Amino acid sequence: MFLLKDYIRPHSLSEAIKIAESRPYARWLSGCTLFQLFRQPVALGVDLMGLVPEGVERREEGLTIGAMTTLHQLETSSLCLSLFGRVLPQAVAHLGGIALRNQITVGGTICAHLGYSELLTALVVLDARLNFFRRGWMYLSDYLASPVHDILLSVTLPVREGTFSLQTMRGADADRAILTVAAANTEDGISVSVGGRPAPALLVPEMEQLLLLGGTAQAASEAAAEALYFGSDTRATAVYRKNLCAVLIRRALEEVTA
Amino acid sequence: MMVSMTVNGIPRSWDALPGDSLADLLRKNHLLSVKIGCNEGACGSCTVWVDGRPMLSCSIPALRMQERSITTVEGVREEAARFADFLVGEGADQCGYCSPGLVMTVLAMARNKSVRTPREIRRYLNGNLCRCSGYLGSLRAIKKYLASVD
Repeated sequence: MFLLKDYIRPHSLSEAIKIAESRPYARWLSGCTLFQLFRQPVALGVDLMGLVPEGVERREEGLTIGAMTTLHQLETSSLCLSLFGRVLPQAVAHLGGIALRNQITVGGTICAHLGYSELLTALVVLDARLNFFRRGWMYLSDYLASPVHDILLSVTLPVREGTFSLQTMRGADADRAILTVAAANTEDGISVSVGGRPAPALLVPEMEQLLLLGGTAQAASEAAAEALYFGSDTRATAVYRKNLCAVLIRRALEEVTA
Repeated sequence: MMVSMTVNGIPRSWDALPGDSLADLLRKNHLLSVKIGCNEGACGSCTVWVDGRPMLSCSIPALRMQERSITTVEGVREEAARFADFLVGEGADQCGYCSPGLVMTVLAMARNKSVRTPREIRRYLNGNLCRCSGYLGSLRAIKKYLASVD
């Protein structure tokens, strides 16, 4: 049973926005998998299924992923398997079983700004840009810092040559990440993002500078971990995460610079 | 509100409340193979196929299923019975509560030839919990079943 009082399936995105404006307590429905987990009553669910694009395609501006694309579609997409060192399939492979990955959507993952999400960590390092229905384009890292209330249509990743790495620490194979680090070494330089702090993923500021100043990957990783804020939750303490972060960043840096 | 969908090949129009999950709706209409375990998308007992893809029916609003095609264990009786023989043969069946969900996931896996290594099988089945069997017997049964259908 869902704690859902009313359900509407709008015919268009403009209609969906109108409903949300006139009834501010309404919530968008995407993959619906977090609904049961949060157990919060919702007075009106506005279903976005069929209104928001799904699927992965290569366009001039980059790899475009529809917000309704499921994690399993991402995992099996030949484009995702051939680009970015397969970090996208890798980022979703550990999440639950096949049925759950058939339901969770990329858009839902982004708009729920889940801290432990490996996918968000990977998308941040890949310089993802979000396309919203009303607001238009916005960088994912900006969105995670200050979310907007809008309908996400798609995510675009600039296709760049380079090496990529995703490093995750988890208690068990199917468990959520305690900490996750993604790194990219492309023509734009080296960038590193850290997720599961447990706050949502963010880019390590001035990663290249840290590498230059530190000299070694080890020193740069320790400086990077020092520059970030970590919190405690049931999975790990802030101190544990900080120590772990330096190790995961070093491994990621070694992989992308090898 | 009425929702029209195909269930196990038969067109149905059922009355559903906004708060009904697909699992609730199926059980209300006597498809009792669908089990609600955790009711939050973690245990896999409620797995059914939606348009041929395994999904967790406890986490889908029933009203969203308009014009969709649903398959439960009742719709794949023969195949399910064949796989059940392998499960019983390996002693991997005790209380049976998780079996319908496991069967739906395994039959979907049998159709997906890209999942065959033990690691791939485990990852595919991550979301199907069983509190009795300890999984090893189930895994043996699954491997033997897949070998028999491939």
